[in-house]
Parts: sequence; structure tokens; C-alpha cells
Amino acid sequence: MEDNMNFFRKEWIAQKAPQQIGYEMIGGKVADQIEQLDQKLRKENRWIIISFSITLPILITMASLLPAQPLLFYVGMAGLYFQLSIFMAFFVNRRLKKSRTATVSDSQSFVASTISQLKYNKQITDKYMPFYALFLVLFISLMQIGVFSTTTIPLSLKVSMPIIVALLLGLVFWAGIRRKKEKDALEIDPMIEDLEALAVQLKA
Amino acid sequence: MKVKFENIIREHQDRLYRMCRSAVFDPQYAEDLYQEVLINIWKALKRFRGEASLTTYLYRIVINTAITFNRKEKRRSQAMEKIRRLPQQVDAFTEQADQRLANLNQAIHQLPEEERWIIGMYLDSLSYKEIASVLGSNTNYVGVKINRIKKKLEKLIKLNTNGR
Repeated sequence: MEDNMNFFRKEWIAQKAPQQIGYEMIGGKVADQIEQLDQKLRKENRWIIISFSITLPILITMASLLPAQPLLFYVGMAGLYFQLSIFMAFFVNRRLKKSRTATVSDSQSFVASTISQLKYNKQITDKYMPFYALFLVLFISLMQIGVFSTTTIPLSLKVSMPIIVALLLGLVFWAGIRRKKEKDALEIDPMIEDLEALAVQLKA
Repeated sequence: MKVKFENIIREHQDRLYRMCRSAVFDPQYAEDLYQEVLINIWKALKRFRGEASLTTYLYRIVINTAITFNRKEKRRSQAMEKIRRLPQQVDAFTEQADQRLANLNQAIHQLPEEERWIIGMYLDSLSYKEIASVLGSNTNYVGVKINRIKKKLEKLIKLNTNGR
């Protein structure tokens, strides 16, 4: 039996690794991942721009159709317009930016720019999105308080409705941000790690 | 780092590839797995602190990558199942391969996953201690397993050769 095993061993170790697969392939794989992420971000941007472009005119039409409202309502609505416009401008600007492959000269700066881009995207989710959610809830609550202040419904309902809606909106946003963070931890964090390793190797 | 990675791969590439072959039957898929293994080694290398031997560390990476790889590719598992049940269909994959090596690969792929790892490492001349270390097991267990696998493998090869 041992003779047979030695014979098998000779057969087994005769198998050699394909020579064409090497270090260059890793750079290629990382580049593919970056390309996929870029496409995904562009698609996301497009949808955000489309949905914001629809939301703004709808809000303006609604406001023009409503009878005169208290000042609080208009303050809330103005805040909402302002916030949505800033976000839309941000996404349009990001969409209009040239592809990074066209703006960087060498692989080292390409990797560096990708790392900063990924970190920036992460920062948006971690730092700015909670503020965005907070202001959105605040402005919508102001609008509701304004509308309810003129109605004849009981005081308790006037007070509780905006709070309930604000809480629900806050909950939806909190869940959304959490989901995005989990997704980032699976997709973006390992990619940043890979790119940082690649950057170190490119410098060496 | 690049140089270190390249040196390690140059030294271990054939062993790593053979472990991929013991994980995946189809040579084309084995190459895909080998690529993923190289990427995972590249990623893991900066975390390697030398607590285990490098060989053990690399083999563990192959096994972990292969488990995920096979889990992701359900179609492959189904194809492997067919291979186990219908050994004569192996010829489609191995038209140009050496027949004896094809017989050996076929028999290895008729073994359960853990036994494939063990025999793969054994054929690559790893010691019982090293195999045990890769699997997080003990040398006695590995010794007993290897004896059983050897007998099984011989039977399977005979069976497959006679069945052709």
C-alpha cells in the first residue's frame, strides 16, 4: 500500500500552478472592484437626483394649493427646500465629476484618490446622514405643527401627531443609516483595507 | 511587501494550487479558487505575526477560502455531486490530462471534504503534526484518518479503473 501511496504522491506533486496568475492579477481584481463600486455610486446618484427633482416641485405645488398657513409652516417648508436643494447640488456635483481614471496620472495617485473617495463616502453616512435626518424630521415637524395649529382638533392630538410622525420618520432614518453602515462594513471597509495595502506596496 | 508576497507565492504556489485541486474537481474552477486564494493571502499577509508556521497559515487560508468558494458556487457542488455518482463522466473534464492523475483526482473528489484536505496535505508531504495544526486537531486523529483514507483511496481508484 505504501508503494502505491508513493506512486500517487509522485502523480500528485506533478501538478503545477498556472504561471500566468501572479501579483498583477491582484491589482486587476482591485481595479475591477473599484470600477463596480464607481458604477454603483453613479447609479445611486442618478436615482437620488431623479427623486429629489420630483420631490421639490411636488412640495412647491402642494404649498401653493394650500390656503394661507401660519408662519411656522412656511419656516419648515423653506428649511426643507433648502436642505433638499443643498443635497441635490451635492449629488449633481458628484455626478458631474470626471471619472477618476481620467483625472489621475499614475496608479499610486489613483489608489490614493480611491481611498479618500471611499473614506469620504463613509464619512457621509457616519457623520452627515444623522444630521440630515435630524433636520428633515425637524422641518417636517414644524410644517405639521403649523398646519395643526389652525385646525379645530383637540389639543392633545395637535401635540401628539407631529411627535408621532417625527418619531416614525426618525426610526425609518435610523434603520436606513444602520443598514447602510452594515453594508459599508461588508463592502467598503474591506476595500479600503485592500487599497491601503496596495498603496503601501506601490510606495515600496 | 510586494517582494515578500512574490517570494512566498513563488515558493508555495504549486502546493497551494494542489490544495485547490483537492478542493475543486474542475481544473478551471480550481484556477479561479487559486486566484482567490492568492488574493486572500495577499490580504492576510500583513496580519501574519508568525505565531503559526507560514505553511500552516497558508494552508488554513486555502481551506477557508475553498469553503467559502464552494458555498458560493452551488452549481459547482451540484456538479461535484454528479461526479461522485457518475465517475465515468470525468472524461469530459480531463480530455488532455494524464489518465492516472485524473484517476487520482477523481478518487480524491469522491472523499468527504475533510478527508480531501487531509490526503491533499499528506500527498504534499506535510507531517502529521503540520496537518493537525492546519486542521486544529491532534496528530493521533490525523494518523488514524490517513490510514483509513489511504485504504479508501486505493479502493476507489481500483473501482473507478475497473468501471471504465
